[in-house]
This record gives sequence, C-alpha cells and structure tokens, in this order.
Amino acid sequence: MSNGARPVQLDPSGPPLLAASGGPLALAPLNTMSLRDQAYVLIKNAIADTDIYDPKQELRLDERQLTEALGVSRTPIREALSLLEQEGFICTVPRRGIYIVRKSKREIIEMIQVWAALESMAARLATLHATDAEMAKLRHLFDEFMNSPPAEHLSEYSDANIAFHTAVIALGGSQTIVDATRNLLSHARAIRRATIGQNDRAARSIVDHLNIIEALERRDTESAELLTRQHTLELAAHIERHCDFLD
Amino acid sequence: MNMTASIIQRAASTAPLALAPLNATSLRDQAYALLKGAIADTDIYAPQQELRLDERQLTTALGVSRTPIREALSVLEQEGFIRTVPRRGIYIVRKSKREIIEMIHMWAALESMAARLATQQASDEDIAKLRHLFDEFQGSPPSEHLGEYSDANIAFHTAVIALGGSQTIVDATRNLLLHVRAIRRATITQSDRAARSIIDHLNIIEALERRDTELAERLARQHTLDLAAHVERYCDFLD
Repeated sequence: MSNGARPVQLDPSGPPLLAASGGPLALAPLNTMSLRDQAYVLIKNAIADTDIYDPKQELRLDERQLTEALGVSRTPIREALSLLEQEGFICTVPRRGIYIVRKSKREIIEMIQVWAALESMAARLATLHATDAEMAKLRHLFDEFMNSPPAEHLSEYSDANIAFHTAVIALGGSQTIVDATRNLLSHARAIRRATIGQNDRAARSIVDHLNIIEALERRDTESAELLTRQHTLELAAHIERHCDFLD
Repeated sequence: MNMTASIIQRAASTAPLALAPLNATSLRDQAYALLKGAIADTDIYAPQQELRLDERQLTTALGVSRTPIREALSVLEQEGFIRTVPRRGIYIVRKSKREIIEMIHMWAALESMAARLATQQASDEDIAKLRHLFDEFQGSPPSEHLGEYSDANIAFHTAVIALGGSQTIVDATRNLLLHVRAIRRATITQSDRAARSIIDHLNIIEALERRDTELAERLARQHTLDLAAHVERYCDFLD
C-alpha cells in the first residue's frame, strides 16, 4: 500500500447513534455507557480495517486525536481504550503512548488453534441443531467459484472463505462461541488474507469446504467436527512453516 | 474478605526498590483483580445471595478514587461478570442454564484442543503430575470426600489446559473458570458423578501418557460434553 504510514482512520459518521435507531418513543437513555460503547466499536472497527502486519503501518494511537475525531470527551475514549487493552488489541507503554498490538507468530498460531477448537465445536453443534435451510446457505457462498478456479479471483475468494468460517460458527447456535471468536476474527482475517495466495491454498481450501458442507448436510457429527478442526489446524501448520515474516 | 488490607498487603509484599509506579493503570488493574477475586469467592448461584454492588462502598473499601473503580467495573461488565442497570445500580450477573451449557461446550472445545497439543508438546514429567492429583482417592471412593474431590477435579481440568502450553487457551478459559467451577461443584454430588468422573480422568491421563493425540482429544471433549448433557437434564434450578 502506497500510503502505508497513514494513521488509523476513524469514521464518526459510521454506525448510527444507538439512541437514534430505536424508533419513536423507544429512545435509550444517552448515558456515558452508550458513548463508551460507541467509541469502543468505532475504534475497534478502525483497528480491524488497518493492515497491522504492514511493516510501514503507524501503530501509535493519539488519545487527543481520537477525542477530537469522535467528538466526545476523554472519559468514554479512555474507558473504550481500557476495554481494548483488556482484550489485547492495544497496549499502553508508560511515557510513550498507546500502541496497536501486533501479534507474534507464536500468538497467531495459538489463536488459530483456538479458532479450530471453537469452529469444530460449532460444526458439531450445527449437525445437532441447525435447520436444513440454514445449512443449504453455506453452498451458495461458493457459487461464483464453481466454474472458474478461485485462484483467478483471490480477493473475492478470500472474502467468501472468511464468510464461510464465520457462517459455520453461527450455525452452531452458541452465542458464547460467536462472542469468543469475534475478538480473534480481526487477526484471523488478516492472516487468512495473507496466506490464501500461497501454495495453491485457495484450490485446496475449496475442496475442504465442500467436504465440511457435505458432512454437515449428512448430520455426520464426528466427521463435520473432525474435518473442520483439521482444515484450520492445517492453516496453523502452514503458518508455522511458511510465515517467518511475522517475527 | 478485607479488601483494603489485601491491597495494602499486595503493595507491601513487593521486594524493596522493586516498586511498580502507582499509576492509574496499575490501580485499575489492582481494583479489577480484587473485584474479580471477590466475585469468584461469592456463591452467586445461592438464591439468597445479594448480587448488587455499591460503587461508593467499593471506592471506600479499596481506598482509591472513583476513576480506577469505574474502569475496573467497565472491564468486568465487558467480560459479562456484572451488569449496569440504569437508575438501579450494578449487579453481579448470574448465567442462565443456556449460557452455562454454552460455556461448558466452549470449555470442552478448548480443553480437548489443549489435550491434543499436550500429547505433542508436554514433557513426560508434567504429564506424570496429573496422576498425583488423585493419589488420596485411590484407597477410598471419592464420594467419601466430595469437597476435596471437587477441588482435585477442578485442578485436573485446569492442569490439562496448562499442559497444552497455549497461553491463548489458558486466557480464554480463565473467564469461564469462575462459572464452570461453580457448576462442577454443584453437580459433582449428583448421580454418582464423582465415581464416574475419576474413571474418565484416568482414561484421559493414560491417553496423554501414550501420546495418543486423537484419543486424548476425544476423551477430554466427551468427558466435558457429558457434563453439559447432565446440566441440560438435571439442572433446572438454574432457570
């Protein structure tokens, strides 16, 4: 990216104000909690949209600039930053400032293993609880790649790939698993994007996905779980072997 | 627990000249750790338990200003341990039966992944320590010392997770531990679960010792999924 050093982009006009979307007479109170939550969502989205593994990317956040960009006082910004630090997205270095955290190769492999554990449990639960109609939607994510190989549309395929994994997790019907994977998603997404172009991974990935979909459709609990886990553990092994640029 | 005494003791227990600067972040972290510890020590599923927290009382008890308390509460709310109800106050959150079953599913997923990784990475000595957690129950059935067995049970599951060597899995299970522990304690006395639990544990230990990756993973998962199924059938008191 040519302007690799750009600061994190914040869009205060992004998501609507929580209170305004509640319809007539159903206004939520405008307390400081909702400002904090709005600041939290905006800053987290801005971090997710930043290519944090680009070596030229500026990772320092300026609290005053965040305050001005979002048009709120320092308290909700600080509370939002406090949550983001607790979740490991940023870290405060005394007398230096606040920095977006880049994960190490070791941490990324661990996150992918957690993803494999949670997505395979979701696949297990999906075979027990999801409806046939919900299952059928998975196939359509790949419709546009059936006639031409995914290598010819890597960027679109990468988006479909991420949508597939997120959809399997949703099919499990466990809000706890959905919530737990949400914080892994921004890192997992960056890594899936970065690796999908390597070693013909896209072509192999679509074969794995179709096998997972068939196991889900057959309600084959053990196979769906095993294939889902194996598919994502192979990503971890791939990163172990090929992604030394992360360290 | 006397929180003021404990915060002072924590500051005093650091070695001479190795004092961390008392900045706002460390006050928040201390308040967070103390509040979370206090919630963990509360039997939140007892029906008579008072669940409301008084921010002013917390501020007085911890001897700090409102800002670090509010930041700590903000993190605890984000983690789902407490909930702010406008014009009512701050409440410790009791999980519903559905949420507890989901947390146990998640625990099963993470502990079984840790068991898989343990067969590939843990040392023989570390795996051998698992057996000794149950030494005192070899001569007499666990049902005769349920309190101790319940502690050993929880120590076993935490140890399997540590053996996996993944800090990310350890961190992800830490926030589940508080609720899962309360439920394991409450259910260990039901339907002869303790006697069956010790057999499952020994099978998991043997699979880990043989470095049988697939079996260790499957047994660890099945053991905890059985707990989820038990809660589904027998724990209607949660709703």
